[in-house]
Amino acid sequence: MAEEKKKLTTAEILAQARAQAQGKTSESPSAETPAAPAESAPATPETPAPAAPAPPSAPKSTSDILAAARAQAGGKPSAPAPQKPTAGGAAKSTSDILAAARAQAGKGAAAPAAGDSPAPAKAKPKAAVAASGELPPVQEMIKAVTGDKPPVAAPAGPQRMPIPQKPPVPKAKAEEVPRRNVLLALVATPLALAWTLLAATTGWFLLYTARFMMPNYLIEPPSKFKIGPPSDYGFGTVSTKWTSQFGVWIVHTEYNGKKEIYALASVCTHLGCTPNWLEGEQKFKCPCHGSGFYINGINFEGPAPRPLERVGLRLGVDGLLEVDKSVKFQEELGQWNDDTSFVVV
Amino acid sequence: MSIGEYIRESQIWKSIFRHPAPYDRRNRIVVMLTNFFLHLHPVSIKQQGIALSYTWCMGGITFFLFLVETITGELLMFYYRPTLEWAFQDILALRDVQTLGIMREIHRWGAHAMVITVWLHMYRVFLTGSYKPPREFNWVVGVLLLVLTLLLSFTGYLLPWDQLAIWAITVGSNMARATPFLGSEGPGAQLFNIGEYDFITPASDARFLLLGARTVGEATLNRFYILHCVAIPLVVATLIAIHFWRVRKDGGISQPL
Repeated sequence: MAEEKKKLTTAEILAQARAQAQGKTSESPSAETPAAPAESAPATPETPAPAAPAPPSAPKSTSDILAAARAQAGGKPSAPAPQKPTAGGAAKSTSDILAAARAQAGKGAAAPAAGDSPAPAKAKPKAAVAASGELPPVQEMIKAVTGDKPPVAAPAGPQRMPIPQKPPVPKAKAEEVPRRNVLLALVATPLALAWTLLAATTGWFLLYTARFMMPNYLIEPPSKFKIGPPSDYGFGTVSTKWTSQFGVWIVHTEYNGKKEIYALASVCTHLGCTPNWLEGEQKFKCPCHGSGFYINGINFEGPAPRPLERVGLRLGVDGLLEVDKSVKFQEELGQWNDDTSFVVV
Repeated sequence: MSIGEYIRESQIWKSIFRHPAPYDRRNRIVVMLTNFFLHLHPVSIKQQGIALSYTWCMGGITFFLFLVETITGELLMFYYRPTLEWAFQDILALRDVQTLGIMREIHRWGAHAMVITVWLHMYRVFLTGSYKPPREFNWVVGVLLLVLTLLLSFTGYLLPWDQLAIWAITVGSNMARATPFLGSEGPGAQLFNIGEYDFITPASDARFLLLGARTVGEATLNRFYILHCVAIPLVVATLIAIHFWRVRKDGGISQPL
C-alpha cells in the first residue's frame, strides 16, 4: 500500500525533478547537493552516501533520487539506505545503490541490516526522528522539486505521521502500569499464598488419607514360637501340627547328605494357597492349581515356579526348637545352606 | 368423575406430576423433561434405535441387574455380619433357615449374569462401532463401569467366608504383589528404598492396602464388605447416571446407518 503511494508520488516528483534538471542544470546538482550538506552534518558516513547516488547520479531514475534522499534521511544508521533499493526495484539503479549502500555499510558498521526489509522500516522512523536535523534538506529538496505542492504527501509525510503518535501513547501507559501492578501484587500475593496453602493442605490430607488406610497394628500370630524338642520329630516325617496355627511344616529328612530338621512355610510359591501334605504320595499338593512339591520342598509339578520357602529354625539353650517366621530362606538363592535355616540332628 | 380422574386431579398427584399424562406429543416431551429419572434419556428416539437385533438391550439388562443386585444386596445386609465369627454362619442360616433365603442365590446369580451382560454390552458397542466419536468418552465411562463391575464381583466373592472365598481372594490379591512400583514384588518397587527406609514392603504395598493385613483375615473381610456394599456401588451409580446422560448428549442411542 504504502509503497504504491510512494511510487506514485515519487514518480511525479521525479518527473518534475527531471523536468527541472533539464531546465536548470544547476538544479540537478541541487538534488545531490542537499545530500552533500546532510552528509557533512553527521560527518561520519556521509562521504560514501554521495558516492552512491553519484555514479547513477545523472538524475535518470527514480530510485536513484529516492535512494539519495533516504540515504540522507538515514544518514546515521546505515540500515535504511539498503532498504530503498529493494523498494525502488529499478534493476540497474538498484544494484548500484546496493553497492553504494554496502560501501556505506562498510564504514557505517551496521552492514547486515541491509537484507531485512522490516528492519529498515523500523529504523526509518527512528532515523527520521533522531536525525531530524538532517531532514530539512530532504524536505527542501522536495519542495524545490515540487514547487507549490510542499508536502504532496511526499513519501516523508505518510511515513512520519504514525511515528509521533505511537510514542506518546506508551508513555502515558507507562505511567499508569506501575500503580496497577502494585495493586495487583497487593491483591494477588495473598491470594496466591492462600491457594498454595489450600493446595498443599489438600495434598497433605489426601496423602495421609491413603496412609490412613494402612493399619498401624496387626493382629497376627507371633513370628517366633517354640515347637518342642527335636525328638518330637522323627526322621522321615512331616509334622502338620503347627500348620493351621502358624503356617509351617516341620520336616525331618535328609537334604544334601545331612539329616536335618527344618521348617517349611505352608505357602504355595505359585499364588499363596496352603498345600496339603499327602502322606501316601509323600508330597505337598496345592489344591488351588495342582502344584506339587517333594518332601524336601522342591517343586516338581504344576505351576509353582520355585521350591517352598524355609523359615528360621534354631535349637534353644533349653533344648527346644524355636521357629522364626520373620526370616525366609529360598533354595534357588542358595539360602538353604544357611545354618539358621535348619537344625542338624 | 372416575377414581382415576379423581386421583389425577388431586393436589398430591399434581404436586408430584406437574403435567398431564403423555397423551399427545407435547405432553410426551414435557413428561420426559420434567421427570428426574426420565430426563436422563432423550425425549424421543428413532424406532430403529431400540431394535433388539441391534442393541440386544444389553445395557438395559445390565442396569436391570444392577437394580436387582442393589435391592437384594441391601436386604441381605439385614442378616449378614462381616466378622470371622458370624460371616459364614449367617450365610448358612440364609441358606437353611431364613424364609426366602434364596435371596442370596438371586444376588449371586444376578452378579454372575451382570458380569456376562456387561461384557456382551461392550461387545455389541464394539461391533456397532458405537465407541467412535462423539461417543468415545462414553466408551471410557463404560470401561470404568466394566472394571467396577468386576471389582464388585471380586469383593463380593470373599463375603461368604468359605474356603473358596478365602483362597480365591488370597490368590487374587497375591497378584497385587506384582503391581509395578507399588507392589512389594513388583518391578520398580526398589526405587522406594530410600536410605535405611523401605517404603514398599509386604506391610505397606498395594496388596496390604487392599487387604488391610498381610494375609486374608478379618480386616480384609471388613474392608471388602465396605467396598462391596458402600464405596463401589456409590461410584457405579454415579457413573451409570453419567453414562445414560451422555447417551443422550452424544447424539442419542446409536442405530443402524
